[in-house]
Amino acid sequence: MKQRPFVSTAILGVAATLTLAGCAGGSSPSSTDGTVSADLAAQIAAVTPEQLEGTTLKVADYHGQCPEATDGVTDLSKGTNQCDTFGILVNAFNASGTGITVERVASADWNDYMVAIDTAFAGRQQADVIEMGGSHLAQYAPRGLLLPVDTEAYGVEIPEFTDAATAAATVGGTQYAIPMDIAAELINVNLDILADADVLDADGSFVPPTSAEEFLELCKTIKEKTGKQPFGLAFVDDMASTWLFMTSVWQQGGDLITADGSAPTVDTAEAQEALQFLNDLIDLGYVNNTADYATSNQDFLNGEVAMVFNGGWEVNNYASQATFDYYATDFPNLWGSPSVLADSDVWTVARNAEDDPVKYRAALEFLKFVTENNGGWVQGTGLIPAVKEVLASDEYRSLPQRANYLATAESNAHMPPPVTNYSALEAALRAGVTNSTLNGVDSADALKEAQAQAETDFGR
Amino acid sequence: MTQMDSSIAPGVRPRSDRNVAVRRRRRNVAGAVVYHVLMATIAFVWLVPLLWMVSMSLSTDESLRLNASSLIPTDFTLDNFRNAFAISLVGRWFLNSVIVTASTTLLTVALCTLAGYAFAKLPFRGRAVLYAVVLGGLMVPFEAVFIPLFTMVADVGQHNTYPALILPRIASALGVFVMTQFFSKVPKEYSEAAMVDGAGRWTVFFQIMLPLARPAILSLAILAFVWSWNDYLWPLVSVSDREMFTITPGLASLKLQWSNAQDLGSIMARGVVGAAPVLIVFLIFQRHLIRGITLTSGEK
Repeated sequence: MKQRPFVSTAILGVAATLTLAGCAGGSSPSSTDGTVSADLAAQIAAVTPEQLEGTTLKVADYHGQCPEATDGVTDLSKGTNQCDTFGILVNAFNASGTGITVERVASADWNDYMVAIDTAFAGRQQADVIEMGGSHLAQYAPRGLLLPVDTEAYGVEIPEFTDAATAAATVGGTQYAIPMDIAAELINVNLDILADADVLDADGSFVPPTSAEEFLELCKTIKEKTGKQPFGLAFVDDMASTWLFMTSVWQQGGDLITADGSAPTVDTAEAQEALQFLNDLIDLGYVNNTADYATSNQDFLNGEVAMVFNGGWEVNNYASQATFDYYATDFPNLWGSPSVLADSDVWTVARNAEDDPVKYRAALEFLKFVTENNGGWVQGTGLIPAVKEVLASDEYRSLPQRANYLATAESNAHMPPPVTNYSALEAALRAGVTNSTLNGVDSADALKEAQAQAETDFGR
Repeated sequence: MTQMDSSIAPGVRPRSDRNVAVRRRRRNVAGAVVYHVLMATIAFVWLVPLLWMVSMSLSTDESLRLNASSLIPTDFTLDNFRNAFAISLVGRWFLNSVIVTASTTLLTVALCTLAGYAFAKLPFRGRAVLYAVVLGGLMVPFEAVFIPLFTMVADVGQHNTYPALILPRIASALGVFVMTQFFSKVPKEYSEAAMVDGAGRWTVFFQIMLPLARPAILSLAILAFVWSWNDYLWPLVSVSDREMFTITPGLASLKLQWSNAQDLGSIMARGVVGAAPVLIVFLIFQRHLIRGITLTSGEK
């Protein structure tokens, strides 16, 4: 058969064109430098309720969808976890008569959420309001993707936030988000086991250790007198062990980045001490280093573990399910500087190409509603309030266990370093802790490798 | 030299031969037993995660918060499945998956069969180079191209549509490779004989090559079905409208933070619901799949 060079050439040409077209796309999501002109601020402030009527806001969040619990429900007091509480919050806003309708975009699984957000920004398909962890804010704010939140200039009155919450929402001195809560690690205690070990105070209260040695001694006493596992921590497929490592570094007065935030400092004396503490817990048999998140929870609720390192998001669940005398409190200060790892769920307003002041105002009105209902949010979720007034309220402090960890709420909560590439630093820390605690690598070598990895990836 | 035993009747094997035969039979039986026990053990080990998933899906969330390590359901319930189907969008997600998967499978098979036949049987300039370029696509993970792909689809305003979910997945380098391998093994005499009788290229393709390629096409179709049904990342980033989710990202979107500790039964039930169609398809067509793979590997 005769060859058809034209057809084959044409096909190759089309294929090349399509390939180039695919590669040529993806222009920069925003050309702004991140600042808001006085003119735009004035336009946002001048938006009227009539202009807001009929506005639809796309909101991206990672709380999951649970329509079976939230369909038609607007009473926030019915929330029992993050999923249904947030769903009810949105329902309540949509029913509040502002004329603005919030449409939740498809919620991604927690582990894939930021992938979906990054892709949406790259394709200029981002939602109007985007939730993220405060630790991720620095990855987006400097790129001009987010609206700086100067609610006063925009004519939106929002309640005052706690210092920790404000810090979580601020990058380089500019607030880029509205914080919703503080999610901090606590120590959760089975007082019955501690009573059996005879380590409680005379009035039956928990006596927090004041040094690493005291903590290990406490574990030893619990194990010898009760046979129970003294301490619980998720090591496998979870960040808990890394978060305890970070907490230990900060409690010693150390840090994981330089003062100017330009470079990681992973291989330090404080880090060595922190890793040694984790390994001592493992080597002495005080902790199960094969436990994942679910296992550590199960062991605690089954009464097999005396104390567990877990966050405020579990307080409501532990309080309702524990069949023993349950107590949650601030993680003990073992090295002198009270600190514990925390993060924050923060809400950002994505810049759009037109800088539409009506959209921005609508987003801020929604976030104002969320903030005004901060009390309902923390009641349903167990998280620490971001709003000062809520934190100080009797209503909040009367909720189960909340009054026991006010120090965390007011001062101890330590946010991750607000650096652009925090994900790289976190990954390096996790690798180092995992290598040492699970893979048997010498802790000094593990920290050296983690430092090298952090240095390589940090600047990308 | 073996001496003949004069007391043995004609046609009867000597005692020594009978003993050897009995020992051989015992060895064969023992070997078969060992083989089957080993295979059963391996199969059981492979099945354990699946059995565990089913067990948890039939247990209450409350009981699993205390103990999730049993292969037998603790506190048996069907509520997890009832709740999974009670979610109003699950039916819509299933429909989306059926539409997307069926379309992707049909189009993938059509495209790859045509391309495979062309690469194997049609001489044209640049065939070798083009084939190499196609195979090069096997080395590029989809995750590396999905941002430019996402942008391309965004530029034509096609996100949250069926074409956006179907079209990017139909050009399968592996599918082209499989079909090319198959067609290259078909003797050229088949097509030559047909052409001598006056058949054109299309006639040869549809009436001779396609029927011969049935096993390979079936195995490609099954693979394409499984890939498409299980596709998660692309629907996740391409779809922001919940009604357009397919079943995999749809069910995953119901998962809360820390759900692994709190709602294990519900999560496992949703996993069973999402995986069931693929398992059923594989069970029905496994013989064809194996035969198709065998044929494309060159064995007859």
